Amino acid sequence: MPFDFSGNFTIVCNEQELFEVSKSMHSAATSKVLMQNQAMHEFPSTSNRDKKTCLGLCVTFVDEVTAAIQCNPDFLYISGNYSRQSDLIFSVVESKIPFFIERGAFVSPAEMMHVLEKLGAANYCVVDAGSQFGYSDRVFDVRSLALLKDYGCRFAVNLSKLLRPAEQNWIWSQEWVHDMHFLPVYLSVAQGFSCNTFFATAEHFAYLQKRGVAK
Amino acid sequence: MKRFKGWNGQISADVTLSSHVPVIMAGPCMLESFELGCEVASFLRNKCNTLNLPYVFKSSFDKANRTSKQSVRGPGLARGLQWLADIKEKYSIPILTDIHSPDQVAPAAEVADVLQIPAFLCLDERLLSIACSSGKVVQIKKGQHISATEMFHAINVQAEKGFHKIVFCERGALFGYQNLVVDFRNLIDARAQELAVCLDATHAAQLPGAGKNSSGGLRHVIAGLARAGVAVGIDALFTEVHPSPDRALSDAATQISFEQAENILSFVAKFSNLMDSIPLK
Repeated sequence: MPFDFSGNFTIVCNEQELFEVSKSMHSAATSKVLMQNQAMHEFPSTSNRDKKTCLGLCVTFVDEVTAAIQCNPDFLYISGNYSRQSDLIFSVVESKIPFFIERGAFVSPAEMMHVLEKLGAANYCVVDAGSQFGYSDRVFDVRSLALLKDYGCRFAVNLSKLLRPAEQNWIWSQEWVHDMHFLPVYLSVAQGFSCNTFFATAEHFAYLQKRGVAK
Repeated sequence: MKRFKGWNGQISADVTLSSHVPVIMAGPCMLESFELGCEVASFLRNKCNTLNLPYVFKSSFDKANRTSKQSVRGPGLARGLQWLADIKEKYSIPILTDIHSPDQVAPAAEVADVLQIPAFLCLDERLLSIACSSGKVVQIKKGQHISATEMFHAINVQAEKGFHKIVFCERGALFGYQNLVVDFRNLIDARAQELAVCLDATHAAQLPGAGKNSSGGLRHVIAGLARAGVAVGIDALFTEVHPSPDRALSDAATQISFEQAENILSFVAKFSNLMDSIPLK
């Protein structure tokens, strides 16, 4: 069955527990966090992958797209740091595989429209992971969702990166900005824009379940 | 000779990084043509020779992350590297160019003395490792979206593998959308880490995405930023120079003219030695 971006309300995990959690979900994605220990040559082969688990692969350079295609993934994921790399974007579009593309934290919502022009009529979903706000902090700029909705494309929200940007830990960072009680707020705001696809770590997903806002 | 952590800062036989006499890394943003490269290289080499400043020619063969898909990207890998090789030979100067993917490292290292990692890719461990293992000096531009702490961590990961020939390059930090400010604290902290330190005064003046289908910029602040960098004790100054900046095919708002470049170089030649004689404490 082809991958469908327009599934029901979905929480997607993006850390080590991904594949366990994803078995009970409509869709799943990997992220750079998961891929750090998974070099291109360690991509799962078509023969040994669990067909019941939706497989998404994070790609960073063109050669990884070539390798990923061999795994017959359900979708590809372009992390925010690579959202401006034209060759990567063009190769993912050419693969015809559905993909998520994350707005880089350094890319303004208006600039993201230039990125979308590079995608043409491809089968994609934009992921909003917040905007950089000083070091090791992000803010959820809802104007981004408004622009994406006006543009008419599908979009998702990465709740965990909003709360705690991956690979970022400024020594003077204040802990309150990473407080999980912001998660339901982000979720509600995104749903207000008819967003129904979310990314979260297993820890954050469990928190939302405990609060009764995630199934 | 100043020692950095694990290496002596040498880029080529004649060029060594030092806050005493900072290396000038300069040239056109994009290698628009071989003739343009020659014109800029000739001017800057002669000017640096006159002022006794070490010089590295900088230009890009591909602008791989242009804002608009309509924008020109440059001559490409094969032709661009050939032009850079010819410029290197013709003017006897070291070369710096950026790489955007792991497969570009080997061919670029055949020509370039310094491989530059673009800011967006500064945390890509695979690209950093392959670039560092080339044996060339690797200049890493700190992403405008990360703190110096994260950059030091990424550099230390390479150092633990025995790769030390790395230059930390500050090019500004995001200050809201389409705006950058230089956090000079990063230069001070990088020096404390015993890293070679470069200030990219050109891109620090950029206003990302603020132009129509391109980035804008504040050309008039570049000289001031460069002077401030010298005061902090940079080991290299990076700037982009074009004979007709307003007509440049990329980053037109932040490339500087020959006249502006001459003004900056004169300042560096006159004051870097003096600044370096009074250590930061």
